[in-house]
Amino acid sequence: MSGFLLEVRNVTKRFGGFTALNTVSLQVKEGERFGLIGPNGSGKTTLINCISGALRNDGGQILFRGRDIAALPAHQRTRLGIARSFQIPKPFASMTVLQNLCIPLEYAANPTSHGADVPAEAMEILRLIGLHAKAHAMSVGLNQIEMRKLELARAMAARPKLLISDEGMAGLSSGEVDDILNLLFKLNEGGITIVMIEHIMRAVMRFSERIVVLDAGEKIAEGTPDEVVNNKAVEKAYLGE
Amino acid sequence: MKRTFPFLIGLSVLLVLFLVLRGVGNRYYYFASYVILQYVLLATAWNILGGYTGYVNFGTPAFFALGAYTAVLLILLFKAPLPVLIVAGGLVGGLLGLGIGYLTLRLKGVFFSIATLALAVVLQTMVVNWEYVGGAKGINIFRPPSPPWFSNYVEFLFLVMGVLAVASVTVAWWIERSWIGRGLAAIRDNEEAAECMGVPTLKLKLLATTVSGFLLGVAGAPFPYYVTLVEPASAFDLNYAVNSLAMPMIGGTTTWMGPVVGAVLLGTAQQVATVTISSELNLLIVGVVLVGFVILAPQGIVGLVRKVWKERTA
Repeated sequence: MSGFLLEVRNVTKRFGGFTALNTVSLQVKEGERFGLIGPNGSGKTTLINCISGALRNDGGQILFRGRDIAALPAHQRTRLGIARSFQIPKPFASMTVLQNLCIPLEYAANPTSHGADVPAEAMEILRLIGLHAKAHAMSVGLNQIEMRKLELARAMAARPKLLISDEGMAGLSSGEVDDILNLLFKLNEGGITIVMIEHIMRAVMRFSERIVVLDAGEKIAEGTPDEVVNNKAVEKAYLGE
Repeated sequence: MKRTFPFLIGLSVLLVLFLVLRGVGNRYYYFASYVILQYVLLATAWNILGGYTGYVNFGTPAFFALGAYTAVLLILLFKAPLPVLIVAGGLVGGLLGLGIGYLTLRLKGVFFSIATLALAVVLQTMVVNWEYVGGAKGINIFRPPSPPWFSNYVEFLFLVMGVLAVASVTVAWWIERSWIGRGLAAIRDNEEAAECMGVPTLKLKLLATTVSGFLLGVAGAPFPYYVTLVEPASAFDLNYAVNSLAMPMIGGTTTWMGPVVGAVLLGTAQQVATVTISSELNLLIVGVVLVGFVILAPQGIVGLVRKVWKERTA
């Protein structure tokens, strides 16, 4: 046993001749608030896609609770406890907000029972996220912040152990960013390990206990927010020489 | 509601229709109603994949003709009875459905549709060159004697097609209300998000293509006895592709009721037009109505009625 909730070992991903990820390794501890940053095109979302199963890594291993999950399709990884939100919200457009949550509750959280309590559970999650007033609204009619909350709520409905938030705050005002941050803190206190990918430095620095920095598909730094900010390589990656 | 409930209601409707037609006594009405019921079956089957799952299948003629030619083959080889033909047509259609299910791994959207269209062309070419089942000139199939209680065989076929149509609507009704239907809807809305939310997308897509293919094949199985001359041009008629797509679109694709409403309205309009104006007008009617609906009521008749109802009560 590695003792880590998620362990990425030397993961490589190529698209044709382009190497999007080059032997990237990182470890996430149970209950941790983990930040993943890097300039545009550094491979953050590709790494998330490899972890969640949307893409298959070409080399290396991905271990979740000590088990190699690289061969599993995405839906089985979700059932094991890895949930994600999408950078560009992808709601189920023909459904209401509540129905959006029923899908992961039925398929990921209770895949064998297809239980009848699903709408009640969905409502509970919406209350936690603060979206219960919109439960019966169509998901396409939501505004930006509500859409982000729906992404989070839907990921929560999969009852994850690890929640990956892929730029869940892009395009929000600073008050709204605080809103989402507080939500993530609350979820973390409830025992969920959170990996946050974010461009809004204020948010990711405040939130994360530990940060990994990617640049051009390689890990260039790792440490506490303070260590990362003072790292020369990170400064170079973001600002140039 | 009990699972058998819609099936029993459908059967009662069918029985009433049958008794009315019997009272009228004109054999042509059985002939015309058979076509409409066949479209109820085709549209419902198509909608399980096209409407619920969001994969638009242009290959309806391939499945339909496969069912029909499976029946022809079994009649020629074993003089197999009608129930065997129907089951066999369904199984072969289901197998082809399973095949196109694996296509969805690589082909999405319009590319999937083009592939299914090509499938029909390929199969038609094969049948045209297969002399044993009649090749391009077609083959004559002799109807068995009509069963007791029925004055002629078409009357019997009408009832058979009616039961099949009711059964298919029941299957669609059940899928729509089950966890399978909710998973299919998630795939239709966003396949990537669905997979990430725990929906086994491949398994459900294979299920949808197989069930849809099975029912489309079933629809073709009684066809040889209905027309008695089976030839590729009529079995692979493009009308089946256009109608089985247009009928759910006009009725509404997200509910079991949509294809039924669309098939009854459009099918009846076509039958009336065939007799009163000209048989060539059919496709024009479909085209105009479809364009009108896409522009004015993209959710179909069922969607339109629901919207109006909501606004009234709100």
